[in-house]
Formats: sequence, structure tokens, C-alpha cells
Amino acid sequence: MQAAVSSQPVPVRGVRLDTLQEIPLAEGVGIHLRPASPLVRALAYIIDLLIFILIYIALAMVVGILGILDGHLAQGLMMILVFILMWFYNVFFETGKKGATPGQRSMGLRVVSETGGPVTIPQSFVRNVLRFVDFMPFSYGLGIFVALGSKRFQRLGDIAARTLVVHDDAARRGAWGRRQAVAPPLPVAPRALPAPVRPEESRAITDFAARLSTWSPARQEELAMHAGGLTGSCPPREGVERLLGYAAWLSGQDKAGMPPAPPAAPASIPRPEGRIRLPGR
Amino acid sequence: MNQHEFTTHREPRWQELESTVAGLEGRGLKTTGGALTRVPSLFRQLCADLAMARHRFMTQDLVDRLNSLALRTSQQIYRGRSLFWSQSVDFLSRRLPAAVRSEWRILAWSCAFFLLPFLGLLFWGEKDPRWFEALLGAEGMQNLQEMYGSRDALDRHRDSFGENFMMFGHYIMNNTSIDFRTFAGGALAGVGSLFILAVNGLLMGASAGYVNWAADPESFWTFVAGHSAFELTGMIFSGMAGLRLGLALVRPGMLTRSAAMGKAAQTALPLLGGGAFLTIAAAFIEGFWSPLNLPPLVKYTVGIALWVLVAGWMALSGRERRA
Repeated sequence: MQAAVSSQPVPVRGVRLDTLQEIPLAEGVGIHLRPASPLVRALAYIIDLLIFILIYIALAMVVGILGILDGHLAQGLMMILVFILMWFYNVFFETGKKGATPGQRSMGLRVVSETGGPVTIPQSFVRNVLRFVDFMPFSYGLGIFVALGSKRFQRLGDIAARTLVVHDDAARRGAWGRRQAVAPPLPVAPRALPAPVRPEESRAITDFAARLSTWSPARQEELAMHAGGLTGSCPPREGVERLLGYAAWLSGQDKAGMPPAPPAAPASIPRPEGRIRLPGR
Repeated sequence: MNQHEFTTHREPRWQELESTVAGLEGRGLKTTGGALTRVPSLFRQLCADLAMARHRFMTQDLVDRLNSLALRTSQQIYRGRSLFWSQSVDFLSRRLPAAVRSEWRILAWSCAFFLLPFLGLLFWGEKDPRWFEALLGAEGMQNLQEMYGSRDALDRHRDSFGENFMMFGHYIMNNTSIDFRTFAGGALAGVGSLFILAVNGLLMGASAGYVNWAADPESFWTFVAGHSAFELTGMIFSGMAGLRLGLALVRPGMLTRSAAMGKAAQTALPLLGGGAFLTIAAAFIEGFWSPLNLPPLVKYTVGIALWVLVAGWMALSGRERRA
């Protein structure tokens, strides 16, 4: 038993290097959330604080004009407005269409429920009221302490409200539609793989091709050398070319370097005769 | 089907869904009815595509892109309209009293932490007036003298709507904020809530005891009688909400502490909402009714009537009828 286990390669699955959280949706697929770290959230908080102060000044000016008519009335109004601003600024924006305050949006963040859904008003209220304790003893000391100890960077308010602050890439990049999923064809002829590869390996090859332009030539060659089984004996530059060829082959590019024609409409799918038998039943 | 065929074939659908969702988020073209009806089916297809892309180890870029779109779409689909306001009548008549009754142990603890210091100072504070000085300070005592020193001290009787409204605003901001902080303090294993309750008991007890001892008690009690019922219950309920949260940390039962806290927050919210509602109602009474210069009998009758109302409301309202 012992020997059998140790002779197996170390399984890659289960080793976690990232902070991705998988949330199963009712639609039967898991979406991945990327919880945001205290640092980026602190920056968002500072931006919100500045916006908060600007709103406060604007309110004070408007109410101040009213104060010419009745000073006491204006003071009372101002206190009610400040009360609302103080406790409901975040709730208003977090439960809104964008699910984030202006500060959070500018840092590409979004508040979501632990279930992956949008936050509800009660949830948002709880997580923001509890800022009072997260802030203790000073500048979010307790909140940061608790968040760093939790798997998903949740401060006390997030734990009680069952919410997460996540990176929302769409908010940051702004233009989802401009990124084309149909990548431009690779400038190489496709090259058939000499031997079957595992799905993770095929993924590594296509990802290598997709990210190639972000690396310096030396780094490209260095990375290509890691795929020793495929690029083993050839010179470094040719190793890169080869991997690109495999990537083109894997993604179904044809010889001319053009993407394949869209598949013809399925004319008729042959149906099996009789009832389909389910295996194992 | 390899990635090229897959993306070429599906891209139009993804683009259609993306532009609809962007419209819903308020950053693209405005979304119209026709596009909306296609969202559910496009979303299900997207989910299937995402599963497929992941299962076949297609490029990270593609998977990320579909994942991000799935997240955004689900956020829009499940956003829904809040039932917060439409349910408020049901909340006040049924859920709040039921929540208070089912948490009677916590109610007892909150009352104890507020009432013991309060009554202690009210009745026995004058045996050693240094208590008043320690708690209220010279300035606090002077303020109380100005307000309740004689039957018609000017500070108490405000005569313009503006002044009343100013105090109304002040009470809302001050007292409701204290409610919220009392609740939040519960996240420190309940200690914060108990602390705020006890401090309030001490301060209120010291004020009442000091006025009884050194100023004109009638002017004080006629002033506070009207809003006392709502204000004190509001504070107690907020304390209860905080204790509910804190107990989840101390005694999580079969759950992990974070899960217990998430669950407790849901139970605690009706209490906090009720507390805030009562406190704002109290601010209204304190702003506009309490300063009226009326015969003490009227003031006391209204005060007692409101206490009976609150007690009856919490004890009787929303009970399930048993056949």
C-alpha cells in the first residue's frame, strides 16, 4: 500500500496557490470568485472617504443657504442628512446596479453575497454597521486582523453578513466586448503533437501561446525549456516555435494559419435504435 | 469541437448577453424588453459553455472571460426588488414582537445591564453625590441645572418649529447611531453591547438621580415621560441584537463560529430594525411633544399610556392563534 502510493506522481490537484473561491450556481456550474485583499480594499476605502467628504461639503453648502431662512431648521436637517450619509452611503451603492461604491468600483472591486448573488439590503447594512468594531482599535486594526486570518479575506462585518469583496475584472477593464475570444491565428504552421498529452498539459501549451507577447524573448525561451519532453533537444528559439505550432494544432488552426470555417449546421444526428440504456442501471 | 470552432460558434451569443447585462448595469445601451426575455436562456447556455471550457482545459483567458460574464449575469438576474418597505407593516405587527418574545432570555440580560446601574444611581446615588460628579462632570451637572433647575427653565421649552426640528435631527443622529454601535459592539463576543448598555444606564441614572437630588424633579420627569417608553425599549432591543450576535461567538453550537455569526445576524436584524424604529419614533416625540408646556397630569398619562402600548404590543401582537 505504502509503496503503491509513493510510486504515484504527486497529484497537482488539491494544491492551492491562488485564492479563487468556487461558488456553485443554481444553473449547475461553478463560478470562481477572487476575494480582494485588505490593501486594495483600503485604497477603495480612502477614495470613498474623499467622496464622502465632498458630499458632506456639498450638503453643508446647500443646507447652509437654507440656514439663512431658519438656522435651527437647517441644523436639524443637516444632522438627519449626515446620519443617513454616515450609515447608508455604502448600503445605497452596494445594493445598487453596480454592487460597489464608487471607491470600490475604481479599484475594480465588487461586494457579493457568499452565494455569488448580489448583496441584499440587510446584508449590506450588517456589514457596514459592523465597521464600527472592525475599525477598532484604530484604522481597521481588528478588521484587517480578522480578514487576514480568514480564507476569504472577510472582516467581522463580512462574516456576519455572509458577504465577500471580490475582484470584478469587468468593472476594471470596462470594455468586455473589445476583448475578442477568437484569438488571432498564430503565425506558425500547426504541428501535430508527437504523443497524446493530458488535458492540463494541453492547457499549458495553449496558455503559453496566448501569453507569449507578455514576456521577453529570453523568458519565452526559458519557459519553453520547461516543456522538456516536447522541446528537449532543440535550440531555445526553436523550442518556442515548436510549442506555438502545437498550440495552433491544439486550437484547431489549419495549415494556412486561418481559423477553421464555422461548422456546418448539423444536418441530422443519427439516433440510436430503441431506448437508450443508461450504464450502471 | 476545438477552441477555435467553439469560440467562433458561441461568440455572438456571449456578445449579445454581455451587451444586455452591460445595459442592466447602466453602462451600455439601455436594455429593452425583447432583449431581457432572452437573458435566461443565454445565461444557461453561457453556464454550459463555461463548464465545457473548463472541462476541456481551454485557455485561461477564455475561461476567465466566461466566468466574469457568468458572475455579472447572475448578479443581475438575482438582484430582484427589495421587499423591505412592503413588508414593514408585517414586520412591526408580527415579526418584531415575535422576535422579542422568542429572545426573552437575552431581553432579561439586556434589561439587567441597563436597569441595575440606572436604578442604583437613581435611588442610592445621592447617598454619595461624588458619583454624580464622577459620571456627569461639572459641565453636565450645570447643563442639568439649566434645563431642570426650576419649573420654567428656558432651555427646556422651545418655542419655534425650527428649534424642535433641530433637536429632532440631533436625537435621530445621536440616539440611532448609538443603537447601531450597540449592535456592532456585539461582534466583540457581546462585550461591546453590554458595555454601551451599562454606560447608558449609568449616565441616565446619574442624570435622573442628580435632578431628583439637586434640581426640580417634576420638570425632569414631565419632560422625559413621553419619549421614555420608545427610547428605552429601542436601546434595549439594539442591545439584544448585539447580544444575539455575540452569543454566536461564545456558544456557536454545532456550527463554526463564522457560520453561527452569519446565522445570528439574521436573527438579530429584526431586533435592530425594531430598535432603530422605536428610537426614531422617540426622537419625534422628544423633539415635538416632550417640550410642550402642558399640565404634569397630561404628560404622565401619555407617558404611562405609551409604556402600556409598547408592553402590550410586544407581549400580545402577532401571536399564532391556536385552534
